[in-house]
Amino acid sequence: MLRWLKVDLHIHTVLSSCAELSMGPKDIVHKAVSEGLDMIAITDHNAADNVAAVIGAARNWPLTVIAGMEVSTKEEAHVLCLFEDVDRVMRFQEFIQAGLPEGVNDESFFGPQIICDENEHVLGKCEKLLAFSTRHPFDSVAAKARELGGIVIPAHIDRKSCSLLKAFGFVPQNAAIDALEIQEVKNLETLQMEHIKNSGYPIVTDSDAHDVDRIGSRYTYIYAAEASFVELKAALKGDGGRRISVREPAQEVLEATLYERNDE
Amino acid sequence: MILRDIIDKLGLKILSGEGSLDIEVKVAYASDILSDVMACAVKGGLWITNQNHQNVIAIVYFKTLAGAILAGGMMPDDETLAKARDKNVPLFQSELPAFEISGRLYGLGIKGSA
Repeated sequence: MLRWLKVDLHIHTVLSSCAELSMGPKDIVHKAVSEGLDMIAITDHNAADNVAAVIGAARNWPLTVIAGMEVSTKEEAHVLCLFEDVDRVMRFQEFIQAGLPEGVNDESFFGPQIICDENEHVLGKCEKLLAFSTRHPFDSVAAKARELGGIVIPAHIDRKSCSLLKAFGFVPQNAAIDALEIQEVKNLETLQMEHIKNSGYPIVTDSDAHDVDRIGSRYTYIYAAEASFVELKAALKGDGGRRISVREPAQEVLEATLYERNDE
Repeated sequence: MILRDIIDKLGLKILSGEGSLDIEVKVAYASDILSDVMACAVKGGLWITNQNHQNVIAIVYFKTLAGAILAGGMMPDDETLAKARDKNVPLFQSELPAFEISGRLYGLGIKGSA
């Protein structure tokens, strides 16, 4: 049976140097659950070392955690890449990090990049320059993510910097894109976004939380059988009546309920 | 040429890094692909770009460039400007397009590589 679920596909952890130190696995999970989210994705900049910790921290909670990464492409476009499991995201990480510039993270400039376990014990620090872009262009990043069965979502395309729309000047048609993420749903009403709305790609909105308080501030509704990567993928494709919405699906809930009653 | 003189001749607006203008500049690099700038810009050189986000500051800092010139009237956002001032990273701004800035620098004897 299909039902509406709340998902936030863009959350950072202490591994992102720009994130607050409050973004440890337990705190993220507790806040996500208290906000009524059914599924979240962990998407640190050019790294995924804390994904397993958040999945572990969510083990006894009604929350699904998707393995992801927010890649900075050569064109300065931020792109969310989501995967079915930790193994795949770590293979993807190898590819992305091979394209990062040489050098060691300067904590005094960017802040620390902390790797931790599910109990928020510090395991170490990532010394790579995660704050910079990989040398791989968008097309290669998307192709690699797809090769690993991943979902590709250009992030916050309504932002003035670090967005695919800003970097390209347009959103490519028939590209390896599964959805577009916008920050503000109201931006869909502006002229440029009208073009995005008509591009045919599904639209999602996420918190892009860098601190715990932001979790729950924005989320997307998916109409699916359960909170899982596979169901998310199906909802983005619109398979078997599954779908997604950035607006409260009150009316749709009603319709769905009536539909199911008629089925019985 | 001394950076301060370049700023005068091109009419650049100084956004940050006022204390670091008495150095000699011999080379410059123009690119908006930050990974390319990371790979190719030369230490002590100027950088002309249309990018205006925080990583512009990071690159000037990491590569020890003489500064970045934001072309075409680009302005940094508040966070970027605060970071530049905090780290004393020289950041300049011009209404001229990148091509025009590059041409004028070349005319002043600044070269594309060391």
